[in-house]
Amino acid sequence: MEQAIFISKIENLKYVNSKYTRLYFGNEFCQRLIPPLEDLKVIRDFVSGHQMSFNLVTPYVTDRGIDALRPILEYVIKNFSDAEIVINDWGIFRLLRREFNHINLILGRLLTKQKRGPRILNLKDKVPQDTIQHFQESNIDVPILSEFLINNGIKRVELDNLLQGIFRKDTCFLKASLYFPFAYVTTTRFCLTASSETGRKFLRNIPSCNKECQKYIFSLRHKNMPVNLFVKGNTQFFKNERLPDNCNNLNIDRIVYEPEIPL
Amino acid sequence: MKILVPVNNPKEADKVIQAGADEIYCGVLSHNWMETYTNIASSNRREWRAANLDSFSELRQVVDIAHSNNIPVYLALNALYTERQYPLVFEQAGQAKKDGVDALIVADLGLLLSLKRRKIDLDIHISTGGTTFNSQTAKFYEELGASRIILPRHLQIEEIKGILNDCPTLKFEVFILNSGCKNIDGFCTFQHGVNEILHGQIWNLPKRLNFDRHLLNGIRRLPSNLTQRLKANIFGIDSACLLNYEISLVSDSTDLDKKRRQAILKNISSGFNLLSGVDTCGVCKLAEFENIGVYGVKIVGRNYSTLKKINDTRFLKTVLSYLATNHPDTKEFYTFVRMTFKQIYKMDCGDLCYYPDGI
Repeated sequence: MEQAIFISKIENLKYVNSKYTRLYFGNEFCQRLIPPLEDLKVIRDFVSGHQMSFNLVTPYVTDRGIDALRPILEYVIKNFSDAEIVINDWGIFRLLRREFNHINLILGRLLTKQKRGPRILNLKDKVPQDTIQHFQESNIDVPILSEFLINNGIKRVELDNLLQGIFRKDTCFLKASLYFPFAYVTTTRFCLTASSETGRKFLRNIPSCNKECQKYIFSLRHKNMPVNLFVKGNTQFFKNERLPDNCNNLNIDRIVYEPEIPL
Repeated sequence: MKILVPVNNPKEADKVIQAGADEIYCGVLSHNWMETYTNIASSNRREWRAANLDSFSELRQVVDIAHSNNIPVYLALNALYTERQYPLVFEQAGQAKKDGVDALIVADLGLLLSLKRRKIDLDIHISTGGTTFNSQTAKFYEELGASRIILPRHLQIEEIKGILNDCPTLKFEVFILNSGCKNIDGFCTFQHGVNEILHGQIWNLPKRLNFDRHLLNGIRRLPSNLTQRLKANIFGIDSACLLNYEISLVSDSTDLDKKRRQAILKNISSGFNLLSGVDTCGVCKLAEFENIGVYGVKIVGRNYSTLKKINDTRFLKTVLSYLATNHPDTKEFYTFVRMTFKQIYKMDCGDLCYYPDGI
């Protein structure tokens, strides 16, 4: 089992040790947190010095976000040999295939479409087994989609460690990574954390940002929600510290450890 | 600019058309789907039974009524499907084609590829679940056969304008009324419709009677200091995004004093109060949407009452007619929109804006 570690800021290189052979860097949820080139230079020196493989993690983006991401993609493709790029936006996929002809792509958590909502646990005894199994699966294992991904340079998919368990057929042919221990549940551009210090007039606006997400993490608890949720920045997560027993059968051959919520 | 209106039963199709609907969309939650997957894994992203037609024979009736008025009908097949569901999904797509539906609304890339391979002769619209946040994504879907994109609620008008400029051969829809979800539809994995399973038919009735929407809209009439304190579980509304969470700060790198900490927690809490679930309105931005070339504006709320759908449609039709006839400046237009809102809904709009930029 390959061991990778996922960090979203260079200060968190402190978590990296010899157990990990691959470093994930970047973020999935906010284009305002696309790392500057200077950070990528630090990362390049680090992975080179520690003989680690490298993954750049990219978020979903607007056209402005694409402009911000473009020099980062150019730098990574030029300076990291065999870098994998984790995509969470079909536009970034198209850009990488057409303009960069890059084929070392990984389908990120936002595009693997698992059903992560914890409240499925409240319904386990109340719905048919077919429904539960549906909630353990992902659309990426539908053969026509798996074939499309492989034919287009996407050779791996990123999965969250679902509370209800994961089901993949023995015949699934896409390799998978499992993120651990934080799974994302939902995300927004109307970032609550960004307006946490000032409040807001409109609920539906994109507030100005002083990177409050780097200061605070909130916990949400409710009797109808089987586990606590965590709000970091614009995204909600849950924590699941129990790894599946059957990773090999699920074609999972990489664990992506998140020492902190990667945002 | 087209007005897209949802229906959940054949009887209301004619009524919304008479009110001014240009196009109709709907979903079907059929008996055989429900038997295996229940409402919680709905075939079309609306998990409440009250949001859907109950059968394809009802769909046929809707199509017949709409087509006799030259109005197209679009069927939402915009869930994210696993392999075991495909036989039923194909059956539904085929039945929709037979019933005369004009387009399918799709979010799942696997289904989009399958429909293309099967050469199904229907237009494909990409659901907001397709998360088209940029021009590259729009072109990606166009290359796979989509003719129309329904944009996410989380784009600003300048961003929408950029996408439309870059993709002149695609049609685009934006949301204009109701259900201003704060989370991004295509990236949100919370379940809805949980109460319908936990409480069965008992819950289905108040949903069909729009009890929860009446309660939510009643909140508009309360003083704002009170609405900030109202939590969803008071009314049995249990969408995960509206739960009355106990919120705490688990990590704070700034060592806040007690007063500041409480203020921050209150601000976070405001994102989960009931006001955040009240229907939003983007009608003040219709002129801008028309100017930048948006093809259609979508009324959300398949499960809403027929009366609400009629009023929403009338509201949009009245404002679009005023816009076409009077060419008002921004101030005149906003004044007219707010006045019309009050005339139709008997209350102030309350600045619950879909697109608040510049308001």
